[in-house]
Order: sequence, then structure tokens, then C-alpha cells
Amino acid sequence: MAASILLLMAPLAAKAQEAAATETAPSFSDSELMMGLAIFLAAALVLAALGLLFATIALKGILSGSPQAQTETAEQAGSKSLWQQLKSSLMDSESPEQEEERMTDHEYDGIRELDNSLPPWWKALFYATIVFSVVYMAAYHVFGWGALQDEEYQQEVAAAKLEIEAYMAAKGGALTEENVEVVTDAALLSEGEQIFAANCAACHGSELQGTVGPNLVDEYWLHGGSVGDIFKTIRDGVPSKGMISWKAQLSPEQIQNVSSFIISKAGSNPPNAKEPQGEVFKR
Amino acid sequence: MSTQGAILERPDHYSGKLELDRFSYDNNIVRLFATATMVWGAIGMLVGLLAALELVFPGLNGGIEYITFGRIRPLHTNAVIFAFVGNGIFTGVYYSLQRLCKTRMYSDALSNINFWGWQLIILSAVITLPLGYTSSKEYAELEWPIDIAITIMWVVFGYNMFATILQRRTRHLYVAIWFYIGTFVTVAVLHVVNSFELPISFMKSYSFYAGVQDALVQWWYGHNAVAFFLTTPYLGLMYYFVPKAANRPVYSYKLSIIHFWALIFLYIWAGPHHLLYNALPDWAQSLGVVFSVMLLAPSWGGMLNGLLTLRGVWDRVREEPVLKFFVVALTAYGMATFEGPMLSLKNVNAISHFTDWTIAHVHVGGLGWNGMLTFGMLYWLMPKMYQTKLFSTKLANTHFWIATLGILFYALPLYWAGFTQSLMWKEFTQEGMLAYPNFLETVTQLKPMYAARAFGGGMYIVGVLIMAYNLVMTAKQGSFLKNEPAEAAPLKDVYEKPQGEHWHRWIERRPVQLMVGSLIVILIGGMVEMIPTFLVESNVPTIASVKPYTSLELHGRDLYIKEGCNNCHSQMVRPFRSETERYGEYAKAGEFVYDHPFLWGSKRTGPDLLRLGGKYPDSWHYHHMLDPESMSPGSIMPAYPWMFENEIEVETTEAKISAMRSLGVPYPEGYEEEAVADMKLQAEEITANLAESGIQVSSDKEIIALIAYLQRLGTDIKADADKEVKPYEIVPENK
Repeated sequence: MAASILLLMAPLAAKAQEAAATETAPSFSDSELMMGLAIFLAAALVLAALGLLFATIALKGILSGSPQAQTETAEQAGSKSLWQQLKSSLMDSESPEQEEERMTDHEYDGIRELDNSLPPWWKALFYATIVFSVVYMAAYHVFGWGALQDEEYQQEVAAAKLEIEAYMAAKGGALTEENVEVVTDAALLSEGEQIFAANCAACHGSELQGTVGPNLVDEYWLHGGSVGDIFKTIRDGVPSKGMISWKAQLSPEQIQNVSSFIISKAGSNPPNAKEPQGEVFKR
Repeated sequence: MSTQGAILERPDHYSGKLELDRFSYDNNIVRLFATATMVWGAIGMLVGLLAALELVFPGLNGGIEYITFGRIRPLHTNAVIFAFVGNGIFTGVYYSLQRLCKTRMYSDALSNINFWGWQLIILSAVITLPLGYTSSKEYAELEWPIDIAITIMWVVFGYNMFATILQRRTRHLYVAIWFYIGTFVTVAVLHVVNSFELPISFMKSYSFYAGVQDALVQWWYGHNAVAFFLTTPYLGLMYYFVPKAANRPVYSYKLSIIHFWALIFLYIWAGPHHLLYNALPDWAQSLGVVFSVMLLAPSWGGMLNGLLTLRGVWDRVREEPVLKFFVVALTAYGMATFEGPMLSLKNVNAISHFTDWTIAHVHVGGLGWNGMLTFGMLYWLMPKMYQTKLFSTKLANTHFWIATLGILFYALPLYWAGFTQSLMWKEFTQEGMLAYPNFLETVTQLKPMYAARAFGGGMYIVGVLIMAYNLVMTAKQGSFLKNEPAEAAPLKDVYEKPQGEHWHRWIERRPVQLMVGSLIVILIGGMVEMIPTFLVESNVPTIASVKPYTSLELHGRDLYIKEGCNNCHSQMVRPFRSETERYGEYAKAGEFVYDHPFLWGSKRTGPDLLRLGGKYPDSWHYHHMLDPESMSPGSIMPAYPWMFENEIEVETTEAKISAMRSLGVPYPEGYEEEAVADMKLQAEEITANLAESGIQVSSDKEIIALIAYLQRLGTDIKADADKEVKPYEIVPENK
């Protein structure tokens, strides 16, 4: 429970930070989220394991103890071991041998009922969840300390934007249709070929001969045949004609490789080539 | 007071002077339900196995439309919930209620009507679901005539149960009966409210609610189907069969009281945890979170009362299969009810939702809690009713181990699958791109886990078959006691309250007040969540550009429902960067106001489809539906060749439009007459489009309507004002 309350407070803390320094990344990233979750799950598992261990030992103790042993412990009440004290404070129940004292007069088809107290640890758990709930509702919906989902999303996107910009700046700018060049390295072309087979062949044919989409090996181009044009067409797509945008799926480097691969296949003259479309482009 | 003999001479009963009443218990109805439990259990689980295998071998349906995953997944869930567990509930209730009330069932005729009526309902589900008659609402897929039949049968059951309770020869109601009563009233309320629908033909209707409201009602129902069909009645059974089989007193009467009332009060609020980060108002989501967290202790109260009842007899647990099944059932209940609140925390749910994690979670509950408790109960009941010993303890032990291992083999791979897939969905490269932009990659990764899950499920089914053999042999070697003789002293007319009686005893001798009390308790949560969502406009902000579906799109949407696409595809982009990058703008409540029913889905075996419209050309969809692998190599989606043969049911168009208008969708007056012409116009536009890509298809085929719907999905909020309005589009009259 402690772990979950900590976790609950994470976005609150993030928001407090944001208030303090608006320009720094305000939210926790995915990896932090995962870490928090991992810690939380680990804590929960440990707690559950401890609980189970306790229950097993407690049960075993209660069950295997002979009546004599039980009487002895009762006699030695003054010198209860720490474990026994813990056990009785957690369970507050009579042992099966003494249970007649806690028997109710209820009887249903031979089933009788004991009047054992609610296990104190169970009560504590119940109260803790109630406290958690009150705090949770108050934090998010009365005091507005925590970010609700729209705000959480804005924070996530803003944080990512900063991270990406920092990375790109360190890397020295991104590839665009302005600065992209044809690559001729065999390894990069082969990567381009694989990307083509996985993503493009369905519409342009495995030999680039054109099927649903146009022929890519002839001299005719609908949206320009320079490497920059091809790069741009792949990245942004031509939605009106059914060519989707690939910018969410392919990195600029991957688009460069696949564009270069397409250019490398120019004039390969495959069988069943689709008729020319668009205007002639000479390289 | 503490011995059995003394109890029989309590002043509450006439004794000594008066004769004991002699009567008999009806075992025949119990045997009928027990047999149905076994038969439907095996069938329901086999259908589940087929569905599991279809995810590994997508061509397994062999081109047969009636057994695609989308159509048999609801059959599996309905069969195991309402046929296996449902008959299991009736078996246990009909057996225990008579004995706890010291009377025969009120009416044998009603008992038999309940039995045969329920089996007919199941049979109708087995026929109609594969035919594609479905409302699409999970665990409530059955169409309106069957909904009415369910209501009638439930009332028959409730009437018979209540009349039996009223003629009882015991003063107080045992905790098992509190759970039976709570179950009866709550399931009635849930079923009736969620089934509000407007019929348009014999087997087709539209949900009364739309979008966000429909989602809230559905998951209020869906979650509480788990709570009040799979949990509370089974807790009642547990309270009878565990102390009986162990011959031990129930651990704590106080715990029974507090966990019963707390459980039924808290459970009903928890539905919104199925819609976390969805387009549901934040406050409703938060209520779902906190009430789920608060459910932990009351749920564990039931587990504790069951496990601690076994104090003093753990040596027998080693030897008696019945007790072993009960121990695993209670442990699984404890695990599932710990996991439930954890999955309801928003940051955990952000990872688990839409993945196989949920499937693993429900199967720990289903196979572990419901399955194992049912098996234990049957192993205990059948020898008793056949007045013999179990045919083979060894086989029962074999069943126990194979079932326990089967649960592990089922659940562990799916936990792994869920976690893996979710991490893959969320991973970004440093450039800020999705690391696995192709959804399919995150699916093919899971195939080995899906295969392992099918293996685990197969083991579990083998166990059920072993049990069926064992119980049939038990029946053969015994002789069935159809009417079990019993006797009990009649109750005195006036109750003399003993000194120092617990306050809760008051309601335990007043079944009517108990029923009304539980009804009030379960109504609170639902009302607090639903009434504001329905009445307060700010909960569903209007979006001006959202328009009703065209008649062709409406047909396409109904085909989407018929094929059960929503079983694998969500239409709910959550406000996460990993989802808006993959799918597009996240979902807004106002987008769904004309969606009767909502189709948000609960599982992404395939990608989300909310923003599918305009993403691919018509020809892509055409090829993809005919042969998914041609467009997405490695896809596990089945092909839908029949949609290229079947024709759109034009004759229902008018009824569809006017039903939608009755439900509040602003189609212009008299649009029914234009709808068919408009439909043709739009269909021909699509066929012309396809012809450009070299595809010749007639415009009256189902595939055309489906393409129209898929291309419309999620496009309304991107609509720019300058775009020309197509003649077939619906322009609501100044709304």
C-alpha cells in the first residue's frame, strides 16, 4: 500500500516540479513509469508472498499443534514468544481445540458458525484501502493536485519533444528532402530492399513493376523522380491516391535507404510491368 | 447450546409434543443441472480451445464463416459463463437451498421449467452466435428475443427460490442464502438495464444507449457479470460445500456479515476500471479505480473465511480430492481478487489493458475459482446422490493435478505475452519513432505464447473429460436417490429472541427485507455513476463535425458487428504518445454520440481501428478482407470470402434508419425513402474507385458496405470545412 501511495504521488510530484521550473521536463517518461511499475509490482509480490508465508506458518502452527502443546502455551501466557504475540495480534482467533468457546448457536443443515473476530490485519488492509481511496479522489478531483488524462498526455508529448530535439541537436540535424542523397553502399541498399519487401511490395509489386500502385522502375513519375521527391512521397504519402504516409513507421534513414534502393532498380524492366503514369524524369 | 442435540431442541422449534414434518429433497433437479454443467462445460471449453488455436493457425476455420474467431469468441464466453457456471450455480443452489431451508423446492414444475428453459436459451446461443446474431456487447451478445427469454427464466428461478425460502423450516437464513438473494436481484437489474435495445427485426436490435453512455452501462454490466454471476453465487456455494465437505464450522460469522455487505456494495461501482484512459469522464474513471482498490479486503474476506474453515483438517486436504479442489479454488480466488485491484490502478492498466494480460487474469478466476469449485462440488455431490463412493479417487487426483498444471500452462504464457506486447507498443527510438511501428510485429512475436496457452487449455479440458468418466462410472455403481427423505420440526409462529442476540440476526430471519436491502445497496453505485453521465452535458462535449452514418456505412457497421470484428479490434485510441503516434488523434467522448452500440472493444489482437478511415485505399481493404496475408504478410486474421458473395440486406435499410432516429440520431424526416438510393450512390462511388485499381465487383455486395464503414471510421473530427459535401452524406437539420 505504501508503494502504491508513493506511485500515486509521482504525477503530483511531477506537477509540483513543473510549477517550480516550467522549462524543465515536467513529467515522468515511459522508462520511469516502467521502473515505478516494476518496483510497485515487486513490492506487491513480496507483500503477497510474506502474507502467504505467514498464513501457511500460522495455519501449520494452529493445525499441527497437539492439544497438550496448546494448553502449555496457554499456561505460559506470560512468556509468549514474539512470534506467538505477533500471530495472536494478527489473527485474534481461538485455536480449533478451544473453539467451542467461540461457537455461535447457529446451525444450518449441520453447518455451524464460529464467532471469531475479524482478523486485525484484514481490518487494517480494509481501512488502508479506504484511506487510499479518499486521498485519491481528493487529490485528483477536489484539490486538483494530480494531472488528469488530457493534461497527462500534454505533459508526455511535451517531454518527448524536448528529448527528441535534444537528441537531434546532438546528432546534427535530421534528414529531409532537401539534404537527402542517394546511398550506394551495398549493406544500406540491402536494408532498403528488405524494407521494400515488407512494406511496399504489396502495392508496387515485388519486382517494383507496379500493381495497385504505380510502376517504380520506368522513367515516368507522378510525384517526381529525384531522390528528394521520392523521399518526400514516402514520408508524407499521397493520401488522396492511397499512398499512405510512412513517417510514423520508417525513420528518415530508412526512407533514404528504400528511396536509394528504388533508384538502384531503375530500368530493370521486370515482367508484367504496369503501364507508365506521370511525367518523364531523367536522372 | 453448543452441541448438535441441544440445537435441535432450541425453543424456536416445536419438538417433543408435535410430530416432526416428513418430506423429501428433490435430487432429480440437482442431477439434471449437474449433468448439464459437465456437458456444457466440456463444449464451452472446447470452443475456447478452437478459438485459441485459431490465433496460432489462422486458416483453421477452413473458410467457414460460422466458426471464425470473431463469431466463436462470444460463443465461448457465453457458454462457459452462462452454460457451465450458470448450470453450476443452479446445481449448487438447488441442492443446498432445500437443505438449508429444511424444505423441498417450492415447485417441482418451476424447477423443471427453469432447467429446460435455461438449456433452450443456451441452445439458442449455440445456434445464433455462430450465425452472426450478436449485439456486440460483451457477455450480453445474445439478441433481444433471447434476452427476454433469459429474463423470464431468471424470474422463474427467483420465484421458485424465494417461495422455497418463505416456506422454510429454519428461522434464520444462512450466509449462502444471502449471497443467492444478492445474486438474484443484482443479475436481474444488470440484465434488464443493459439489455435496453430497440428491435429492428426478429434477430437484430440497436442498443438504447450510445457511445460513452453505452460503454458505461455495458461495463457496469460486464464487470458485475463477473461479480454477481461468477463470484457471489459461487461464494454462496463455497459457504455451503466447504464446511460440509470439511465437516468444520465456518471460521467467522462476523466476517461473513461484513464481507457480504461490503462486497455487494463496492462491486457495483467498479465497472469503469474497464474504461481507464478511454473517452469516459475522469471522475467516473477515478471512482472505478478507488472502488476496485477497496474491493481487495472484502474479496479476501471470502477467501479467508473459506480457507480458515479448513483449520484443523489440513491432513485431510492431502487425501481428499474434494478439499484439494476447494483449496486451489479459494487460492485462485485470492490471487485473482488481488490482481484485479492492481490492474485497476491507472498506471498498471496503461500497460495491461487491450493485451493478453487481461485474458490471463480472467482465466485464473474462471479456470481456478469457478472451475475448481465446480469440480469439487460435483465430486462431493454425485456420490452422495448415488449413495455410493467415488468410483476412483486416483482419477480424481489425476484430474486435480492436470487441471492445476493446465491453469499454470494457460496463464503464465499469456502474462508474458501481455507484458511483451505492451512494452513493444510503447517503445520509442531516440529519434522519437515507434520502435515497432508495424503492429503485426507485436503479434507474430506472441505466436509461441498463444501455442503454449492452447496446450494449457487442452490439459484442463482433458481433466474435465476424466472427471466426466469418473462421475459416470460413479453413477453406474450406485443407485440414484431421486427423492431424499428428510424430517424437521415445524417452526413456531412466534420467535422468542434470545438474550444478547447479534443485531444482524434481525435481517437474517426476514428474507424480503434482506432482498430489498441488497437491492438498495447495489443500486447506489450504478446510479451515482450513470445519472450524471446521462444528464450532465459536460460529460460528453458535443463536436459539431460529427455526423450520423450514411445508410451504406450503417450497413457496414452492422456487418462489422455481425462478424465480431470488435472481439479483436478496439476503436479507442487512448491519450498516450505511443498510441497517437501509431493511430492518430486520441478518442473524444463527443465522437461516439451516434454509436448504437459503442464498439470500443476490450482487446487488441489486431490494431486499433478508430482512425482507420482514409488511411488505406479502398483496394487495400478489398484485398485485405479477401486475403489478409496479401496486404499484411504474417497476419493472423482470417479471410472473409463470403462478404464478397453475400448481398447487402437492402430491405432492412428503412427499419434501421427509423430505429436510429427513434434512438435520437438526427436523420432528416422522411430520409428512409432516400436511404436506399443514397446507398447505391455511395456504393457505386466505391466500386468505381475499385475499378480504377483493376477490381471488378458488384456494388450490392457486403464488402462494399464494410469498406464504406471502415473508410468513415474516425474521420469526422478531421473533417475540414471546405471539403465538398457528398450528396449521400447526412446533414442533420439545424440541431
